[in-house]
Amino acid sequence: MDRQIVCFAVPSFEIAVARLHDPTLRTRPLAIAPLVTPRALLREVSPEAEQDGLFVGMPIEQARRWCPTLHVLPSNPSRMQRADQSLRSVVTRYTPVWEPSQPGSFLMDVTGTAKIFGPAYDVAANIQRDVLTHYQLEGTAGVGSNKLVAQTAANLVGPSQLYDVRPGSEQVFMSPLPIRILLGLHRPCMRPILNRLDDLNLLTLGDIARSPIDALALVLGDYARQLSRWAQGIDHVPVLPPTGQPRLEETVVIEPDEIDDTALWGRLQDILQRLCRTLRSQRRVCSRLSLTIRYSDQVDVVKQDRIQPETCWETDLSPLLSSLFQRCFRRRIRLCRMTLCLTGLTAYAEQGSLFNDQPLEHQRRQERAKNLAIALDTLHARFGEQAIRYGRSH
Amino acid sequence: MASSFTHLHTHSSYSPMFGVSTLETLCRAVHTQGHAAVALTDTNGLYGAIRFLDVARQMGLKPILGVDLVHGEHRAVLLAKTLTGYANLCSVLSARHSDQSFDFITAVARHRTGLIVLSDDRPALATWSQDTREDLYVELTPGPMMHEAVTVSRRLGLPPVATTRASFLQPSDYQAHRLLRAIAKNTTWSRLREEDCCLPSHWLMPEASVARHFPHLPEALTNTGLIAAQCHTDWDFKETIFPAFRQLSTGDAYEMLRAKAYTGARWRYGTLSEQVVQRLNKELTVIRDKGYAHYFLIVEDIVRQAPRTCGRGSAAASIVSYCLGITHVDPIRYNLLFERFLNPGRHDPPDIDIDFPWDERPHILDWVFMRYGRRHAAMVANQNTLAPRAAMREIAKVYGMPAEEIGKALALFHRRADFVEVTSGLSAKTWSEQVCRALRLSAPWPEILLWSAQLQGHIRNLSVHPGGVVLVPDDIRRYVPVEISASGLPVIQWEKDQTEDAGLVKIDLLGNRSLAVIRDALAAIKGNTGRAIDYATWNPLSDAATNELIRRGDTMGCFYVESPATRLLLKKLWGGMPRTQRAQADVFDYLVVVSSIIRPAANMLADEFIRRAHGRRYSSLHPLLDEALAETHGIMVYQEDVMKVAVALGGFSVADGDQLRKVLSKKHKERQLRDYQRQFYAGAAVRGVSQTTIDQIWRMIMSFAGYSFCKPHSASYAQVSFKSAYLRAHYPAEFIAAVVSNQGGYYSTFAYLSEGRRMGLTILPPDINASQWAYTGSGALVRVGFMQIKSLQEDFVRRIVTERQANGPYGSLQDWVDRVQPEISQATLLIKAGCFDSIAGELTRPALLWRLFASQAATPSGYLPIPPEYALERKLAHELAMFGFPLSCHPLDRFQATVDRTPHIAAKDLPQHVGKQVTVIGWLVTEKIVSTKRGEPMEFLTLEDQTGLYDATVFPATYRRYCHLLATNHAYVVTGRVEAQLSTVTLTVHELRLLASRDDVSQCEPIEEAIQ
Repeated sequence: MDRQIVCFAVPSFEIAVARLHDPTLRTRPLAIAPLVTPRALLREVSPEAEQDGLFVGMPIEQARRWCPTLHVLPSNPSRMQRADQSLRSVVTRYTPVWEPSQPGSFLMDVTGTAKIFGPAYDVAANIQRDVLTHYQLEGTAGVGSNKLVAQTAANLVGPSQLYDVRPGSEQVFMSPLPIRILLGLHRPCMRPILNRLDDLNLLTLGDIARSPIDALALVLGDYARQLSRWAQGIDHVPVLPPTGQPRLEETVVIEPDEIDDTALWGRLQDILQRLCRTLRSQRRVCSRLSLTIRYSDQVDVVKQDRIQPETCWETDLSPLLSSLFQRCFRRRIRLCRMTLCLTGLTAYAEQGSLFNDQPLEHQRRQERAKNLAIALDTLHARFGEQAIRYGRSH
Repeated sequence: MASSFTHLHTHSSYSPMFGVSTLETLCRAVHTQGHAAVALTDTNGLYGAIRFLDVARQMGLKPILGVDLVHGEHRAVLLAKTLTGYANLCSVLSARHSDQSFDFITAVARHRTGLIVLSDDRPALATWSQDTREDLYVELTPGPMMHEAVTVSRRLGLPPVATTRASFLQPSDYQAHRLLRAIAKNTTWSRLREEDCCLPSHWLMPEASVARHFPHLPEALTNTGLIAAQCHTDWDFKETIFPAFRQLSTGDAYEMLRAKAYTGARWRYGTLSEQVVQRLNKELTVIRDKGYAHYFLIVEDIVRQAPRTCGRGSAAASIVSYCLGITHVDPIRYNLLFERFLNPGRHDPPDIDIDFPWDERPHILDWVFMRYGRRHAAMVANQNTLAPRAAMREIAKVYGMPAEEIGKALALFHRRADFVEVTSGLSAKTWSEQVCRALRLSAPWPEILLWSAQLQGHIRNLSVHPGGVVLVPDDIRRYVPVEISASGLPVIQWEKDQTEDAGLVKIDLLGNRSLAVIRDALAAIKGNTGRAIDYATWNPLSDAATNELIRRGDTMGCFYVESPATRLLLKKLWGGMPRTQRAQADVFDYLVVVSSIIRPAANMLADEFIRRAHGRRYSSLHPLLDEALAETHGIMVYQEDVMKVAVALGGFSVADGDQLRKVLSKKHKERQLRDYQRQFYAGAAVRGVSQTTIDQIWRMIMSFAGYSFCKPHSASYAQVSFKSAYLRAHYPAEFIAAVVSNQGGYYSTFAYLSEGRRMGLTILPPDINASQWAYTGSGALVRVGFMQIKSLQEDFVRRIVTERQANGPYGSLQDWVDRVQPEISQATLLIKAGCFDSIAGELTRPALLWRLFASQAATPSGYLPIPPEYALERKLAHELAMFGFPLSCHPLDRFQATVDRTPHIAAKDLPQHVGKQVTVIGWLVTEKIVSTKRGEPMEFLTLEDQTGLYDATVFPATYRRYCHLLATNHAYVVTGRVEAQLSTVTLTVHELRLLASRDDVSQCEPIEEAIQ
């Protein structure tokens, strides 16, 4: 049986959601970017702003000069999450096999659901209609026999439009498209392949599809077959439902950006304390710690480490976090964002080790630190986080 | 009240990225504290020693020379007690910087004679005290380590001495010190380690504060006075230090020089006229009396190593230099003043600067070091200091600013020179806030600017002077500390001014691109036509075509007269000159004036000079100047005009006049200048000159504090200009090829090739069977060299060319691959640059690449497709990426659609629109930012479209609005008024916008207006 895949996506999702909450923004150029940081870059731009020459990644100062009527909003992650959740509720009505590709965008395998919901293009249209009716969000939709074709089709049409690629016509559909439409080619590891295709003047997917596979393999190596398949609209990758991993995560946006290690470390310790408090309240421990920092020139660095044994105490995690922080923060550039994430969450084992082989003094110190953490948890719960905080002696 | 305490350990801004206070502020503070002497002990160097002597004496302080010697874990303060001690100080510092096996304790022990040593380094003190306890002290400085030092003093039985280790003047300056350290350590404020900084207590404490720390050790204070009294403070660096030529006695050297000069005179002049003999004898007498025969013989020895040189500077005024072949301009024929070069009253040594072809200079330097020995010769240093923009950049890095933002901010400052220095009348804080507001720079830029204002001028590191070499009779490490440059050459710790002030004789051996251009063009002419031109005897001064080319100002590519300003000046001078005068006027004579008057000292009078040259009547500021300045129509043009005017009007002796001229060009001259001003005013008043006229003339003299030339220098360079112009007039292809190949001219490669096209040349793309590494030219064709292809390796290209010459042209790509076995990346560059187009047959460039890639694969290739040829835009993109400019079309062709939509006139039609407002399209070829008398920045632009070059002026008001849009190699729509002056046409810009800015007017938004 031919597979039936639907792709539904709300373009510039964050902007669309923001406009829902404030209808006065609907007709004016709008962008999403951190507001207080002077060196912020645009994360999303509305079509009106695009018409004025603005683009994602443009410095906010420059954008304001180019487009004086530009309205800039800060990102609102919780609102985004709620909106994404709402879309999921629509999507899941039609199929149990769905995959989120990015916020506001989903791939659905509707193979075999025709008798219940009708043909795939009807499903796509229904989702578009439902989302528009219930959430006033206009989405694009693509229908095809695989993820690649459906997603490519959805990217080619405007809001509330639908592109249905009939089975058997995939190669004809893909042939005139530029090779850069393949999202898979935008991964950093594919840059040499992209350059080589450029050198060979293979500009469209049809150019690739028409080239003998052996000749392609001579110049593209192992990627030749994969690329040739994509160019012909062949993609066997199944729709992969999300597999939820329990995690605790907190992001701090540093406004204005900061270079002082002590101040930044203080912010990190605050986050760690909050995450550990949550862990303890959930009676869980974590086995992995990851830190993501974003420099002011928008370069992200991620470092992670395993925690052995699993723990929920700041006193255990703090040295590890310090090491991660030092490994991440090596450049002489200010930071504008830090995200701390605890993963590998499991239930707290009530039964501790009978024989602790740590030195007695160390055990006592650990015990004191844990008691202090519990006392602080109580105080914070009762009087708020600002009531008492860690300081630093010089 | 005299003080018993003396500061024996102080750091100035000459302690690289450590000391905060300048020599002036340090000495002033010490003087204010009531001390009679002070020791300057900068870290590991005598970088500012000669200047310190001068500054300290001005403040009435006895200067003690010393150093804070630091190496690894060891440290000690060494103070020069005697002249031998000074030599030992230089030796130990040289060893510290130059010897891989330097051992601190052993080195100091070996060089202790004449030095007083203060240290708290226990192992070092213990070792040294075993040799002798004389002149050895334990240094006690207030701080946590003092107690331990006291213990060392008591245990070893060595006398204590109190110091402050002053690295800054006030406790509040500590953050400035930390900032310097953070810059030096490439780190941020918060990551700066304590051990990389001094202590906050290391400030210039007054005696009372110091005494409070030593109630138990009063002798620590009194010992400072005793030490200061023992140290040498009567420094005299006046004696000239120079080696003997081939160990000859002074008398023998003179006789040899005389014989060589006369032999050379017969070679230059044939029969010797009375005038020549008189001049020779006069100069030889001065040279003999001053004892400079060795110097001339050594310079001649060096010059002999290269067939093409150009003696620059005042040396060209000497007939002895001319006869020895050091210079090539006849000083009698061109009336060059010998006294500008050498006179009996001049105390400092002569200064002969020689230009060599830039690529031959390294061999010349190698020869000098081989001939005189690395222990007897060293390069002069450039002391790199934190210049305003460099300070901003480094401080911004400490503040963690992203590189892109730093670059953008500095680009704004590059164009706004008026914002770089603190505006007088404003506090630094107010200035920094105002500037940041105007340039829309947000926090922490105001803080960065505030710091930059405080830290400018601090020495950062040494680099090598472009050509200055000093030679000494014995070990140079006895005279000055020596370091080793990155290229492995010994380099002294002083820059040229301190070098000269210390009596060391500098010979400048400089690189000159135009000499290489001439050499390469002459070689090409010989290869193409068989005509051999002998550089030494070649005299194109009377060549009609060359003279006419210079008169037209068609001098792009010609040495020293190719800038837009000079070309414009030549056009004004000759274009508007009455015919009778034009027929008589000597082009070379005027070229000498033009190449001088264009320099900042005199350029405001350039138009007036032209009017007078055209016959306008004028009267000098005073009749006494008539004769002195007759040659330049009453206008001061040359450096020696300062001397002439000082003699004629101020009653100066020739030596004093020359000294005034020299002082003007120095950096730290205020005090000496005040004395000369008094002398000039008094002398002129005695001659009955009115106060107003004296003021006017003194202002003219002061303008020579800016960049200016002496006449011999201009004449010497004008001769090279003439030779360049001759080549351009008669062998344009060979000339343009040589100009581009040697790079480094005033313009970009694109601009030179564009000029070549305007000259009627055809520019051919690089070709695997026709190109060489460098550009080649013949007839009306110029072939682009492989050197133009970015990232192509020279060795690889040499292999290609050698193989081609040995076994004939390449027949196909495969033939080339088989014979050369290239790296794939290098071969890719050649294919994309179109080098194989001539042998590709039916294959397109992508097809060639496919075959190249396939040839590298492990499996044999079967059928390979032939993809279509790159589209025109792609080819242009490749040209831009490979060559840096589009080769197959004009860069403006890329904007043809936008150009067609923009109403404009062609550049060649500008003369038809004089007085009118017009719009022109232009590709920005070159730009020059200047400041008005009020310090406002403005800019001169040279642009071109497909029809020609044109010059435009952006005055301050317009410049402020649009300067942020300007950058070379960009396309603009320029609107302005066409102005005609002295038969030249320029455009005064009123509006400007980027051509590529997609109809977007917001990019033209003015910067400052937005905040007003």
